[in-house]
Amino acid sequence: MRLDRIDQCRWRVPVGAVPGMHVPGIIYASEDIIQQIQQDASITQVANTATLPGVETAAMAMPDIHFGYGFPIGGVVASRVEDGIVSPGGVGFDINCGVRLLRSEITEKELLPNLSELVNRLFRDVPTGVGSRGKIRLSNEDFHQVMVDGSRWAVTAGYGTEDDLEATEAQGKLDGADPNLISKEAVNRGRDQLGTLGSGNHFIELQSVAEIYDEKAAKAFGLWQGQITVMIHSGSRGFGHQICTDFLAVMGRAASKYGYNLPDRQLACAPVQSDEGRRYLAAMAAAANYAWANRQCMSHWVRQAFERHFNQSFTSLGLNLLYDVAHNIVKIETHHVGGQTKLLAVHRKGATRAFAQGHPDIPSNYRQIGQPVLIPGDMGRASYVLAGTDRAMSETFGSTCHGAGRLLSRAAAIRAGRGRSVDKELASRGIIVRAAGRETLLEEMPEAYKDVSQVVEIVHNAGISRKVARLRPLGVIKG
Amino acid sequence: MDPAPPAGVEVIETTADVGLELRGGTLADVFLLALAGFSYLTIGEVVTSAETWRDVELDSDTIPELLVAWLQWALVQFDADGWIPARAELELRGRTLRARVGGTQFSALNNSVWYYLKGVSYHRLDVCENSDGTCVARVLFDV
Repeated sequence: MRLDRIDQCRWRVPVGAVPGMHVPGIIYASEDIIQQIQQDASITQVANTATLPGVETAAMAMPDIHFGYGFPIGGVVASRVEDGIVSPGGVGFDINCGVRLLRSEITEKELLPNLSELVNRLFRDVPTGVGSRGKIRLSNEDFHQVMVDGSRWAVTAGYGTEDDLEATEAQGKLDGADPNLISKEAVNRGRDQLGTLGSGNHFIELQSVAEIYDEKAAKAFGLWQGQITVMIHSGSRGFGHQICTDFLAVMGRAASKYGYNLPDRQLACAPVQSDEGRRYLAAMAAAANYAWANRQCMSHWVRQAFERHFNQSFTSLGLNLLYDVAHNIVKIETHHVGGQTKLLAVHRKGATRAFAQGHPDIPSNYRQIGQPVLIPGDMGRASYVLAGTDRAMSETFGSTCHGAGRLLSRAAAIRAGRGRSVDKELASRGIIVRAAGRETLLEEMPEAYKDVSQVVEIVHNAGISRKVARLRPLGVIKG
Repeated sequence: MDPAPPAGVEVIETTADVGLELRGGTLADVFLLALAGFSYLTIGEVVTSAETWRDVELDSDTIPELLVAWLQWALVQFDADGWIPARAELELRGRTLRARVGGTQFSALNNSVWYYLKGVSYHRLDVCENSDGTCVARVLFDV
């Protein structure tokens, strides 16, 4: 497929690369990364998303892009509410998969002597992989409130603080969630999974702040070198997966009803303002709220583990939420495009919101800096804290990358790692890992991913977010 | 995985996900292989033990969509109840499926999960019935 280089960080997929494109595709990538991207069909997928009705300005892809179903992972598609579409495929199966970061007042030196003990405690205390059920048994009434109130339900139930809400994207709750639209299958899958990590690439990671790039922003975010942080990566579990499934079927029929000629069945969609579109947004909001409550409850188990380990309260340990971001979601947002104010359905599938300083949706204590952006890497290298920028607002609808992006398929990673002992290799580098799944460590080994530092360098150089701090893994819990 | 997949079932890979290619003597065989393939992907073993039975009736607009619905049903039984299908008595009429499915309870003590399958996708979904009655299907899962 033809690609035109715009500058050091951007490539254009021209209109006409596939039939029916309304706008070009824009891919953020270096020369090295674009060669990796070209090894799968994700560039064609970017072009395909540019054919969707009402797509605004360009279909975009971040440097961690890889092949997904219909929409690529790492894609941003903004569709006009007025005449555009909403698509479950533009969000993905794991609705509101996202990341949160807890900071602390604990130093790396204080933690290291008993690191493995804390890792083991976290592995025991936070339900992880498939087959484990959560500690929370939801009544019908509670489940209803989780869907409607998200993190607010968790805090009210004792799983967090008011400050946690302020430090969560959308305060951990999307308005408009409608429990009446949720299938019994989704409820059955979600009932016992609240407060559980899940499997695959989901993790809890103990980290140390290894490097500060922006002192002013780091200070505002409460970060300092040698500090211990805890990152939690999880989503809406089976509940959200089922809602995506249910609405892929609904949208498949809707696409025919509205006469959409889609190049891929997984791009199934409906007008934002149609009955199908409104129903999807209301159901997706319920799943997004469940995911925020899920990460909030896990934060509670993490805090309890720290309290028992250090024999101090989590408040005296300073284990406060820095921020929580979604990276699989569609949100109705106002953006300024070509001198006009437009209401858009911004699909971020494997992409993170990165609003600039001054935006009213950023917590007041970060508003002079820009929204904190949390970028998890693989378990052997690094993760990053970035900040949103004006350029993200003007170029990418306030969006940036979401992680490293897979390089090897899971089976290829297992083949490549056969005979190796990933846990011992990581331990020799001072990283303690625990995993529930028998092949998880091989599937998730660092070489299975792009180097997140390369990915972050691109979005930093492109100006769509800026580096604040690098976090080094010390202990990793995998599902 | 060490144990081979069931005969007629091939595991296919994408960058982040996984799928099945199924080759059966009939369309019904392919649906049975899909069930066996689902259980194999989920716990990495060919499941044969049927301790309890569940009834299911599904219909869809097309045969490929019926295959998605069938696998999605199996996926929900596992994710909601930890119940793994082992075998089925199956009746296919047009785009309607009725089945009595035998399965067993997943135990984290005795089993571990290979792939936690989040959903069944329509991407590259295909069911091809040949003139001699044999059938080939391909289906991808989100992991």
